[in-house]
Amino acid sequence: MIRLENLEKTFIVDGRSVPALRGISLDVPAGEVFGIIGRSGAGKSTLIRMLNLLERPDSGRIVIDGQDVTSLSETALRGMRQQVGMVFQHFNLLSSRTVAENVRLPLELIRSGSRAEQNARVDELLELVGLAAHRDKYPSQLSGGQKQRVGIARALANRPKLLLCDEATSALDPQTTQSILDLIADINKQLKLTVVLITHEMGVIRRIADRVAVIDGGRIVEIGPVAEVFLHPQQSATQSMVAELSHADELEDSGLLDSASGAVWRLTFVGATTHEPILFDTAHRYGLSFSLLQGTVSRLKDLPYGQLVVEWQGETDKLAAAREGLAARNVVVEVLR
Amino acid sequence: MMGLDWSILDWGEIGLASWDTLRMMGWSLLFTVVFGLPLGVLLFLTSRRQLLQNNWLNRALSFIANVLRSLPFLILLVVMIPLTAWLVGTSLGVEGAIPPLVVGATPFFARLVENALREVDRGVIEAVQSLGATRWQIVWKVLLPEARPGLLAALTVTAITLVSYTAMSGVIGGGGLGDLAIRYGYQRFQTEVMIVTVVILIVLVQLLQMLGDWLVARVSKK
Repeated sequence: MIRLENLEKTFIVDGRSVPALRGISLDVPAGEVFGIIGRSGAGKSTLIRMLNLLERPDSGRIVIDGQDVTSLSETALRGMRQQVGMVFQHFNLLSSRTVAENVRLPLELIRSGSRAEQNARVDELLELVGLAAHRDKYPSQLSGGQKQRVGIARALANRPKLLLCDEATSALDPQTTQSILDLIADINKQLKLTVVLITHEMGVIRRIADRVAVIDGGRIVEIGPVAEVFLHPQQSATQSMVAELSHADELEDSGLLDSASGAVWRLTFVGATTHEPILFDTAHRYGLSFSLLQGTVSRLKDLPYGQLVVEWQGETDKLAAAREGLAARNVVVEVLR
Repeated sequence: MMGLDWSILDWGEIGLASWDTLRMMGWSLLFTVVFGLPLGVLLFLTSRRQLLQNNWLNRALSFIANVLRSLPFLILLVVMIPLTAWLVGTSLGVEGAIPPLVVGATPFFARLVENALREVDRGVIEAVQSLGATRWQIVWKVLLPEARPGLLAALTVTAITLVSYTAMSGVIGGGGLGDLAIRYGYQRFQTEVMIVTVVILIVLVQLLQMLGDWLVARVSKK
């Protein structure tokens, strides 16, 4: 669906050149929810805005649906943009138009069908995003979450194949974020739409992305399936972002590691293993006792996972056997002490 | 009030002068919008980081607007007499006053339009660009509707400015309340006429401002 080859972009700020993107290459297959995460200033915003050429690269190729969009004429570029929906952090709705009129705007722009057909499509979209009751209100009368639903409905009006989400939930509270993410995930499944989203929150990636790219200093430093990147981050940029969410840094701060007298392991497991009584089994079979220092059991999109920091008490050979036993059950063991 | 003799007032003439002032203001406001709105839109669009960024054109338009705005209206009135005579056949009366009024108010209104358009959220323009809108569509479907409250406020300020300009055009025989005030109130020392024209002008400006405020409140959805 999307192929980026060697994108480069440098901004000139006050006469100095500031590199924003350096050699970005990646592929996003159709139907995937692809997340791009990075700190502010990492270049992620520039990157997503390149996918519909709101920002032009200095060099490199952007191929969408088999078409190199950097070489399109202005007319062809407008046609391409109509096939790519975009949702913004600050919603960017027209304050002078009602909810329904905002959603109808993309249809007016391409003069798609009669007014009655346009209105029918608008009603369908408002139904989809759950705003049918608010069709004649103005954006100023809506909550943030409702405004973003209007933004999503507007982005979907022309039945795009690709949806770009530029920090779509960053201005929303956690509960509203959840409901908007559910909506985007729903749309991805129902409409078989490819979704590219950028965010600075690992929580967003964890909830809906299939694959993720971590961008730092204008480069992709890590890319892969969310479970892999999230559970086994390789780069320090990734580790610090994952740590924020898993509270791993709290363990260090708490001093629990230093005061531990036994072996401290971090156990990571995904899928069906999550539902198995692995700690009890291990303790029972190898004659060990344990205490739990920290733990998270949650989901990565639809995949259950767990990450536990456990202190074991027992003989060395039994500990070694336990470690092998855990590995055999697809539990990744990291020895912290 | 001692020494004032209200019976000397010719209400028929005052009524006619008021009507002339309204006609001058109405017509010149119309032409000011016709010329000033596109000029303001162009000033905005050609400015830095906007859709039609063109530094050369922007500077040229800006220069012309500034030159016209730096001329005191009284001077403009006199300087324009030959042009006005050529355009409308006379430099006197209501017709003769309209061209200098339009030339005086157009750059003023254009600047106000430019400012009103700057208030439109850049993100909204970008969102509509991302939907594949043409520049023309962005102007008509986004910029102008979104700036409507600001544009109406600009129109109100311009209308009021025009009222004061029409009073000045009395100096060159432009007709209207200003003409009346100068010929009777000033040159013939008829203080009564001066007082009445001033009161009418005050009421007119108040009414315009109230109408403008009401319209702005009506279209504002923010």
